[in-house]
Amino acid sequence: MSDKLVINITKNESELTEFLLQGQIDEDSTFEEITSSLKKKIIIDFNEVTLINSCGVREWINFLENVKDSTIIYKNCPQVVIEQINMVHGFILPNTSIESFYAPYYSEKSDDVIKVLLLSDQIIDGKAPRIEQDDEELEFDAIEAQYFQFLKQKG
Amino acid sequence: MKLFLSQKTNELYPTLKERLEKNFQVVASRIDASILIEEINSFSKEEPINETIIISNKSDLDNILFLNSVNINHLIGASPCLEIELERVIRKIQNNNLFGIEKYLNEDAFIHSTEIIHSKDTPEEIDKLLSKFNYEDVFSSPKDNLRIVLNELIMNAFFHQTHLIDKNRKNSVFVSSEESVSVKLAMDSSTIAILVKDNIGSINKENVLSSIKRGFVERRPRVEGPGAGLGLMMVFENINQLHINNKKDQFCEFVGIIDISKRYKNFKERITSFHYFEEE
Repeated sequence: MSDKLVINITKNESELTEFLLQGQIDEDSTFEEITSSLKKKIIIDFNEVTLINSCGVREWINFLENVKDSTIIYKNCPQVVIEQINMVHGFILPNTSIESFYAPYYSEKSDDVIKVLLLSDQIIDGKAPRIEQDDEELEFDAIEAQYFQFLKQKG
Repeated sequence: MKLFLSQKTNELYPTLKERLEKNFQVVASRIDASILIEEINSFSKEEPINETIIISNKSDLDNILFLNSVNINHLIGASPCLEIELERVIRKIQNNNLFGIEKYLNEDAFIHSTEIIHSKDTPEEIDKLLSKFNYEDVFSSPKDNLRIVLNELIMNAFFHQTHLIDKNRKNSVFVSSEESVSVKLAMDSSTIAILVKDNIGSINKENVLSSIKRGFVERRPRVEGPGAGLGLMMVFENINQLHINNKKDQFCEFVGIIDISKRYKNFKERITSFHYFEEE
């Protein structure tokens, strides 16, 4: 299996551990690396996650049950992760929040869609922030009410 | 094959009749028609006709609830590709030529395929297949959407085997080469198409629609059971058209279509179509 989930610790401090997830979250994924080193604060970097399938969603939601006493912060969530969070409830619990995520923006100049890393704080009233690149204002390339739905989810 | 377009359909889609008249016989009375083309808001359950094709501008959730409440095999989401999709579906009904991927594509299409016999090979086989195409004319990441759809459909094909006793998705499932799961990925200038074929043919429309509805309504994985009960909803949400072609007790094809566009927004705004065909 080429794309099996790999979890690496990228930061380890007295009250905080940061993990980088690489590959796909599916029925075979286990999160022992995270549950075995529980800290007050856990940062999960999704930057290199390529897929979460339906069974992976279930595994993730079950995993969250085991880390209820920690503060969980998701960062660098790719579009594929954000769309699953929007589609299925249970990723966001009272102890979880999304710090940063990628969003699609369209560049007319290059006729291409660019993934821009945004902070959740940049989304005001459900509106995509203005992004400029090479003297061009990029256009948000998804439906705001759908794409930023995760910000309204409460645990 | 005689088509009848309801008054409301003609009002809302004024170019449709003229386009269909070039290739099909469009009749003035619904009694003479073998296919009724109806707009979702004016559909009446009271006057059934052999085949009804619904055109809908409602949300995917509304359409799935609708399909769960009526015995309709075809619902087309209103889109710029409406006329092409409608013509292809009518031809499929007319010719009773249900199977294969070619009918959804133009002549310039490239098709790649693979056969999978071990469920745990699925991610690797999907990546190999996806790498055979160049996606420069498509929004930035169709591979992500295709990966989800292929993964869910292939895993269903392995784990819905009727003789399988333990359907826990963590298990490995091997099948013989005669029972292999057949996967095709194709692209032309306007369409990406995927086809996943099992050798079971035990699918029924009501179960598929009920499973998609469950995903939409509950939006949570099943706590118990072999699958999470979200897969078909994820498939439906990551494509523009879903065609299910079932040859009863022999095999079933799930075909997913994505309309090629540079804009991801266009892809997300498109209302997903649902089509169910069965050959006894």
